[in-house]
Amino acid sequence: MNDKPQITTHYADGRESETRDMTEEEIALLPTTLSDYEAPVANS
Amino acid sequence: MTFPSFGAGEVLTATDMNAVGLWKVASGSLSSTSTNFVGCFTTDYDNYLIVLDKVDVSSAADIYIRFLNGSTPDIGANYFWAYVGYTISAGGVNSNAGTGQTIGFTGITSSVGAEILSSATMTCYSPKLVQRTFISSSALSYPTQFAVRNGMTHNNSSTSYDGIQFLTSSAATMSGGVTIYGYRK
Repeated sequence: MNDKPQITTHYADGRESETRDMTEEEIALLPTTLSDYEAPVANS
Repeated sequence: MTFPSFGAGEVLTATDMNAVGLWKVASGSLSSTSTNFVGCFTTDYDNYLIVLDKVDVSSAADIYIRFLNGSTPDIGANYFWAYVGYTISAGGVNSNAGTGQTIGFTGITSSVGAEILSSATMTCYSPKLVQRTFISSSALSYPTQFAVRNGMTHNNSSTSYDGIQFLTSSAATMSGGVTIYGYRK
């Protein structure tokens, strides 16, 4: 099974959508961190 | 003619149609780790409404955006974002911000699984114009509890973009729908 991240492209001009494997360069540029909700900060 | 309710068989005049304020320009499913909408920004419109609904991710992840030139994303360090967030139990204001990001943050931290899905609306200002591009957004989600994030993304480059890319982390895939509308000038 191909477990490489993929990229899907939709075209506004009506061309058919397509999906392909991401390149190693594209994978390296993906975000890796999760922006969690922080504890509430009291107003001062 | 009684605008905006039309009767069957009535002729729609130029005046009627020119009064329409919002036109759908593109739509499609969020899928894979990254989803491009190519050619959705044109000179026909300056500003756009982007609606994301029924958004889910395969593992805990945020959803980000990049602007596109053709199918090529702008990966320059010129995205700036900030948001305020509320959760129902914390009851307080949370904030976070980033600068010099290569990606812009949509404010969605999605729940995992189909039980409670995420939604967001984004207003995108002047992506096709050769000037800075802004997005204001409001996102509802359920990362661990009901939550909302209201925020902005600013692209500091005076570049004309004709598309937008949604992406998440390499370990996750997205699902859901995206509809993009243009505001009549």
